[in-house]
Amino acid sequence: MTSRPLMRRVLAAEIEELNDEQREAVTYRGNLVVLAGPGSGKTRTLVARVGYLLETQVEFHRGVATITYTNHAAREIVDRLGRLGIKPGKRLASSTLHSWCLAHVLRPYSALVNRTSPDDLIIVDDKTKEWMGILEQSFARAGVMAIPRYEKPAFTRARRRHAVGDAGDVHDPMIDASVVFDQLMDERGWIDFDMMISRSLSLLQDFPDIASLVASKFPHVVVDEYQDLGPVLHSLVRVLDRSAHVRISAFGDPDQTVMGFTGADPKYLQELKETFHSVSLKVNYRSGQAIIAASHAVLKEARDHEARPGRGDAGVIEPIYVDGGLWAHAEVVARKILQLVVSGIPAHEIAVLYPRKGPLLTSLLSKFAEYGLDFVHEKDEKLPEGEMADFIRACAARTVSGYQPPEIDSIADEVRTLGDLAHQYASMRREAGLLELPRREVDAAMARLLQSAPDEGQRDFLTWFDELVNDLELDLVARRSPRRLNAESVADFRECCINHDLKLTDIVVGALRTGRFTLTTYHAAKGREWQVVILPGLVDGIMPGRFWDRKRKTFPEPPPDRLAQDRLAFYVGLTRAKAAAVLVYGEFWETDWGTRNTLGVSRFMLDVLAHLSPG
Amino acid sequence: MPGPEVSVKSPSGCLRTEAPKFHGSPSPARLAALTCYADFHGRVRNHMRISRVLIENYRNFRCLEIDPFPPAAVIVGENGVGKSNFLRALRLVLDPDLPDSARALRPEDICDFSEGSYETGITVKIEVDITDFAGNQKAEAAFDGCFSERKPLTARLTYLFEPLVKMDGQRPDSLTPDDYTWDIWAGIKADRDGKRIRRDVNFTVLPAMRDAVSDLSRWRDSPLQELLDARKPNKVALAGTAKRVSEAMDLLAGEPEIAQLASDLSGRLIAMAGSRVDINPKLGFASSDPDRLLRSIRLFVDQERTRSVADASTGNANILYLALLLERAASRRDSDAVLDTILGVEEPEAHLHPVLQRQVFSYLLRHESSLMVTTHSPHIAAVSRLDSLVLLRPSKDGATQATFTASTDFDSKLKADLERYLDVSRAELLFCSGAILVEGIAEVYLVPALAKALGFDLDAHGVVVANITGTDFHPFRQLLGPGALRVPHVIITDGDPTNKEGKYIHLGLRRAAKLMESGNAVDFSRRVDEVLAAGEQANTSTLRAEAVEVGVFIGPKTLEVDLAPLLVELMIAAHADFDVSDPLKAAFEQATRGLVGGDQTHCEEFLRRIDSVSKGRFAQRLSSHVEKTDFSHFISRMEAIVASIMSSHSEHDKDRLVTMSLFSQSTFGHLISALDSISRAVRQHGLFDAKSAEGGVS
Repeated sequence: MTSRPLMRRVLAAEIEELNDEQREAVTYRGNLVVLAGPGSGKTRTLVARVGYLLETQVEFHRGVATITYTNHAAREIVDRLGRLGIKPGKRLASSTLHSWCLAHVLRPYSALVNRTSPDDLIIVDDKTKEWMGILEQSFARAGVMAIPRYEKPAFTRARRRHAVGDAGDVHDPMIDASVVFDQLMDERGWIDFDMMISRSLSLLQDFPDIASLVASKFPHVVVDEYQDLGPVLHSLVRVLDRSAHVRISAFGDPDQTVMGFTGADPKYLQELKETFHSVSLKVNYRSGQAIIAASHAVLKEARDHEARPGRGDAGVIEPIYVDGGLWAHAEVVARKILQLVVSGIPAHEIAVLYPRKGPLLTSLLSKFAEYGLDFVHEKDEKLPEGEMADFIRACAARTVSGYQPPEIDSIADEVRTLGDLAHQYASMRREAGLLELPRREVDAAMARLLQSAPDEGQRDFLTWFDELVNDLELDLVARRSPRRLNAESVADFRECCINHDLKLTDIVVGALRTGRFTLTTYHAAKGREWQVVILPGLVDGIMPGRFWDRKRKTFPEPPPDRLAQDRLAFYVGLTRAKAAAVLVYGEFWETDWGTRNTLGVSRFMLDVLAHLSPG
Repeated sequence: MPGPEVSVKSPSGCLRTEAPKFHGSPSPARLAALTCYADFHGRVRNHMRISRVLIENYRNFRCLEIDPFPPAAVIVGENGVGKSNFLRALRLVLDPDLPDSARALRPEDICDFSEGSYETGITVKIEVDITDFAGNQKAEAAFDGCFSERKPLTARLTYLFEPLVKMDGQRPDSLTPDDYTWDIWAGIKADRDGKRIRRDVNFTVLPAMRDAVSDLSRWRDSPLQELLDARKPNKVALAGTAKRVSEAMDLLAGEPEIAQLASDLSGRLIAMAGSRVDINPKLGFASSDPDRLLRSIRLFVDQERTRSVADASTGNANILYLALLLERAASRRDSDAVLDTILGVEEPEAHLHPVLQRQVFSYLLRHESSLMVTTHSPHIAAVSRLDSLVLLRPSKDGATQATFTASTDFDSKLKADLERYLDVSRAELLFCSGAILVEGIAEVYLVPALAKALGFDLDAHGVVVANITGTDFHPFRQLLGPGALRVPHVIITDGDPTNKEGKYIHLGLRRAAKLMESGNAVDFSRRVDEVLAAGEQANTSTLRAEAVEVGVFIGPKTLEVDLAPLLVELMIAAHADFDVSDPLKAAFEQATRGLVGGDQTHCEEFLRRIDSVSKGRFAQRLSSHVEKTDFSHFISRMEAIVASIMSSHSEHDKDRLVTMSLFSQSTFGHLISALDSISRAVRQHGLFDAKSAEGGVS
């Protein structure tokens, strides 16, 4: 520890601006849980803590690891630290969990303990045919009588439980399948993301001396979105804490657990809270008090979150009853949007959220088309994933946003610069074993290809896309990539864009000021905010969702865990609203094939209504 | 100077296998690049350049902003004003060769005139804006993330040196170098990384204390090294050359004298150290290793390869060095190693003959927009473009301030005329601490002589008397005025109340009107019209006194007539010095005495006599009399007047009262008060309160 805890002025000013709880979370010395409710400035607090640790608590040659849920979040931490004047270089490892395991546990230490180095293995993404093939074989061998395609989440849950030695009370054939799966992968010399994490856990458990080497490098590990990272991370954290005395800072919100279907569970964070010092960030800087109170009614549990002191408006909960099916819901939404825009709300400050694909989305899309509304439909799940797809989308963001930094602070997310993109491109080429190009030529190509056009709407997206792909040989880069996921990604990307008639702004990650409202899922809305959030389809069967039981030919009551997950998703959706949440509810809905289902008003909606007019 | 010749150092003739590529004529592209920097407007383009500089609390600069910073800037200023420190400030931001340890500033780097100190905590900021690269896609990519403006596309880099703070934002009590941090930021809010840019665009300074000859002779330091490395001949040519060099050396080594020397040396080595020493001496003139052969290349300054750089004059070596540096910058640009190099040359006049200075820099300053020079040389300043000039001078608080003309809106003809004036006057206006602008040669002789006689040595205080040969003071007022160079100055001009026919015209007042702000000028002109209408009865003193407020000192009539009461005896003596007949001498004496006596009818004869020996020659002669004369009586009279004002009036308008009082004392009052004003500007005291002021200082 340095003798004088001095820091850069920018960082000190940042810490000064925080509220008392946030400041405590930044400066607490020791293991820490930060419970960060919606809009409580979680990322800001986390970044300030990392900066504070690096500047004043961690010796110069040691560092901090920050583990995040997405690559985007990992990069954002580095960017934001840069704004605070902190450029830690190798002292900071900011990455997703599996990347961190790969780069800081498996790669450096596997060979040292006579285990196979990941460099000798082939990384197989769980979205590839190969991976699915292994899963099919595993199901067959373990005697799991289910269609693998539909059981991926259940399988993942079982696998993760197995990885932490939680076999469950009753015999679960899924656990058997996961044992077989790992064996089959081993035989082929393959590894997937989950295996990177479980292998790391076992390595650290089996070799405490390796755990302390990791601790020497990273005396502090800061975890973001702890509630969604699941049991394996939780065990990893316990090992680092207990056997290597790494200081842990866990940031999260049990109420915003949206990845329950992959094994995430609020209980892990609750458990840490029992032994670690915990700080609760109570002030919600986003929503008005009325919205906050309604959201607590949805949770059915008391929370001490409150709106920012001195905030003038309480925000609005606007329930709209619809005596009709989902088409009527969509009609109400379309009119509401027109009305909001006329009243002066910028379109990019409006979001319409839906729980999942299905009749609600179908109705919304066709109504929006009928009304000629201009919107960004984030079809994240349809676009291919992986580095290549991310690269193309980052290129789109820079094209739309123009010269950096933008003259006005138009966006929440950092748009990557031409230099960053050229750098990433060069490293993708290197990985693909392609000839290295002169740096300046790559720079010039980027500047030419990503020139922003003033009339973005008119710009022919496919021309942009094809030029980018051809001039940068992206298809070749993807095919030669060691990552299997990338191989078809360019062609898939293009096909997806054609099939869904996507524009440049549709593929941009994050929120840009495009003059259009957003249509997205509850899940994808996490971590974001809008002035007005519209939640249509609050009908039982849609939200919470019910799934057709073929044997019984009904839509049965959802199982408790699914119900709990939908409740948290609804909570997340509602708490995205800064000024108003428009809740569109009704009593029935129609399936795609026209059957009317009258299951009553959504129970979440009933909770809100009961809260609005008690008694 | 003959063109430089590149060759392998060896007896000529033995390796003329092929002309080195470097020696070949430039490619069409290079030629275009060499000739097309300036477009037909003469505006320099194509190169990115610095377009604004802000320096806070660094060395001489408390708060210096040069906006716009001109292309091909010529930075002029006296010794110690901070010309080198200005370049160093830019190096902190942009020089990749400056080690980072130099960016952690020391207490001596902090401006002495700043509020706050190193110990109590101070922030040093240096902002550099770079522009003129729009459309260059490589540059647009490199600067992405650094932009501060879109039209014109401009990138901003900010070096910030500041104290670390405690968590509550407070500074520690006494700061040491360890308590500071520095960084280079970019972008409009200075929150992006700017450190990386110096790999792409860099700033190199050719220092004043350079030894061009030895730098050129040493391979390591010579820019020639990089140029040759960048254009390596193909392997076959190198190997072939090496072989022939080797053969030639063998031939020479076979000569008995040389062979004998080699074998004698071998014998002695073996005798001294035995055969275990791994030295096997062989004489030669270049390594036979093809890869090392390039390093044996030397630069000669003649085609016969008889005179090496060491034999060149220091001046020629300096020009050669500069040419190589510019060539190296162009080569780096071509090779994409860097996007552009901005070159700062300190005192390029070193060792250069004035004629060469003019020639070299009137070319360079018009063809290299990314070049900047600091100079004392009037020859270089004289050939600079008017809007390239940046004058550094100490301000009242001691810190250095910059003045420049780049933001002044001169029309093109005016600019051309001023440039021509600066050229022929050797840019004296740029180097002076104050200026007295006059109509003609007579004033040029008389004003300094009179000042000296009154105890004010204009030369010693850097005050120039600038002869604008005419009465159009307006362009000079614009050049020296608050919108541009801000040089303290006064204008002395004749009243010229009548024309040759005796008609009242009051040209002096008209000139003053032209130099006033438009609002005041209209009112002033109207009142001049009233004076004109009044004819002979008119009194111009009120209007003339008003002109003093705008720095225009108008005499009642003409210089000689106005001065006659003060210099009557000296004028008669001066006239007598010329080879004129006695009757004419008598006539002049009579006219002069008559005039001083108040009879204006002598005026015509008085002026005719002076014209007949020429006004200039007369003033020249008169000046030597003036300098030899004791004016103590006049001085003590003036001192008494000044003293009484100083003791009797309120504080704030004393200077003005003194000026007005001196102005109205006599017909030559305008000259005396003009000198008094300029004395206040450059000596911080008036002509006649010298004793008290100097006593106060010492």
